[in-house]
Amino acid sequence: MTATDGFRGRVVIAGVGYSDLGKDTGRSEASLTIDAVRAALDDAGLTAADVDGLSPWPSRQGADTFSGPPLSLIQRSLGLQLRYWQAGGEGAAQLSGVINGAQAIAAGAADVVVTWRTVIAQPRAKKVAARPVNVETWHENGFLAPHGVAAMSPKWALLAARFLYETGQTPDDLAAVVLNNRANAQRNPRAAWYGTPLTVDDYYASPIISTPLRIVDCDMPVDASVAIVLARADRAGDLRHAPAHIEATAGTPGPQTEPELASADLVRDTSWHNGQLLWKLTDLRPGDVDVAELYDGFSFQTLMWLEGLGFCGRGESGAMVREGGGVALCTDGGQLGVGRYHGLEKVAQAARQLWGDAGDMQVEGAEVAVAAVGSGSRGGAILLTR
Amino acid sequence: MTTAEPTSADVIRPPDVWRGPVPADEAWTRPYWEALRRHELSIQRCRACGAWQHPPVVACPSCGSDDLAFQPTAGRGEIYSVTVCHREFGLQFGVPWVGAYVTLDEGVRVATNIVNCTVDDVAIGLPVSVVYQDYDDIELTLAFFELAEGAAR
Repeated sequence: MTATDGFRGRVVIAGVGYSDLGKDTGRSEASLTIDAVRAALDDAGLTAADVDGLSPWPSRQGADTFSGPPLSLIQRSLGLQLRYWQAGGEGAAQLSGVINGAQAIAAGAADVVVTWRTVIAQPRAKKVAARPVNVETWHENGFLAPHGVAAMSPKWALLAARFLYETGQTPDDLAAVVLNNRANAQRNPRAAWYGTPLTVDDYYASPIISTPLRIVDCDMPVDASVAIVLARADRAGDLRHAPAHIEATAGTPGPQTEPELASADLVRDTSWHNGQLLWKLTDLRPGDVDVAELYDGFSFQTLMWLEGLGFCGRGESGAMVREGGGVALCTDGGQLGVGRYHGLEKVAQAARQLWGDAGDMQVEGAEVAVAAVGSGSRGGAILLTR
Repeated sequence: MTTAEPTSADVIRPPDVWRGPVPADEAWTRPYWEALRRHELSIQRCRACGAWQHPPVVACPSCGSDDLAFQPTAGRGEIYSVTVCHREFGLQFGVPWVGAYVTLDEGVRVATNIVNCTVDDVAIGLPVSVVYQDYDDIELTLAFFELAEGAAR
C-alpha cells in the first residue's frame, strides 16, 4: 500500500462534543451520550437528519458498566435514518469506532458517521450481601483471573514493570508523564484535576497500587461521554470547521498479541506494531507531528507510545517528557488530568488543536496531530492533518 | 482488604481456601486444568513441529498442523514480569500479593502468583518452580510458583 492509498482527501473529522464530566453525575450512559452527540453535531454545523451512520465502541454487549448505551437506544432517541451501523468489542479498542466509521465513509457506505465513547465511574449495581465467590472466567481470561492479573491495575502493572526493566527506565520516568499531564490539566476547565496541581513530592507520596504503579499513575474513573462526527471530505463546504483530515489509521494486533501471555515481545506490541504500520500509510514522519495525544490510562502507556511511534529511541521517552520540547504531549491533560474518558477524547482534542479551537490548551500553528490509544494486545493510532 | 497493614517481612502463602475467580469449563482449555489436578503443568504442543503454545490454539501458528496435544512441562522457568499488588482486586489472596508472568523453560509464558517468599524477594529474571495447591471442594488445582533453590536477587 502506498501513501496515496490512505484516507487523505476522503474523510474529515467534522465535529466533536462532550457531555458533563464528573465523579458521579447521576446521569445514565444514554443521557450522557445524547448530550455529547448533539454537541458534536452542533460543533460540525450538522443535524441529526444528516447522520446516516453510527459506529461507537464497544456498545452494550451484556449487563455491564463498561460498554456504554445500546446502539439502538441512541439511534431511536435521535430518530436516525441509517445506511450504516456497527459496534462491538473486538478491533482497535477505543479507536475502533473512528476507524470503522472512516472506512465506511471511504467505501461509500455512509456520508456522515457518529461515533462515541461513554463511561460511567461507579457501577450502580444493587448492594449484595456477600462478595461473589468463585466467579467463573472465560476464554483467555480463565488463565489470568485466578491469579489476579486480569484486573486492570495488576495486568498493566506487569506490562509497566517489564517495560521499565527492558528499557532501563525508572519510576522517575513515570512521574514525568503524570507531572506533564497534570500541569496541562490546569489549562483545561473540564478536567477533573483542574485546580489541583501535582508536585514530584506529591507523586512519590501517592500510595502504591501495584508496583511500579502508584495511584496517581492510574486515571481516575469519571462519568463522561465524548462524540465525534466523521464526514465525507467533499461535505467540507457544509461544515463549520476547516477540515481536519484523517491521514492514516492503524489498529491491529501483531500476529501473536492476543492475549498478553502469547506475545513474543509484549513491551513492543500495539505501540510499536501500530507505529510501524501507521508510518507506512503516509509520507509524514514523527518529526512533522506538532501534537501527540497519547494514551495515559496508566502513565507508562504514554511512554510506550512515544517510543512505539518513533518520537524517540527505546528507553528515551521518560527523558523526552521530562525535558519537554519536541511534540506537545497530552495537551488536554490526558486521562491522568481529565479523568478516565477512555481514549476517544484524544482524537477529539487532536482535531480541536488542528482547528485552532483548543482555547488555553492551543498549540500555536498545529498542523499535524496524532492520537493513540491502548496497550498490550489492543490499541491503535490515528494521524490527522489540517 | 481482609488483612492488617502488611509488612514486607510476611511470607506469602497460597490460600488454604479458594474463593477467588475460577476458570469456566471450556473444551479448549480443559486438558490444562485436568492436568493440574494430577499435579502436571501441561502445555499444548504441536506434534508435527514441536512448537509449544499457551494459551492453546486450534491450529499450530508455526507449521499449520492440526495435530496438537497437551504435554507435561518440567514446571520450571524464570520471572518475566512481576508486580506487588496492594489491593485485592477480587482475588481474596490477602494483601500484598504478587502477580507474575513466568516464562517456562519450554518457552511459553504463564500467569501465576509467586508464593513462599516475601514481597522483597521477587524480581524479574529469578528462577522459579511450580507448586501445586489443591482446592478439592471445588475440584480445582492452581499452579503457583516459588523461588528456585539458590535464587537470590
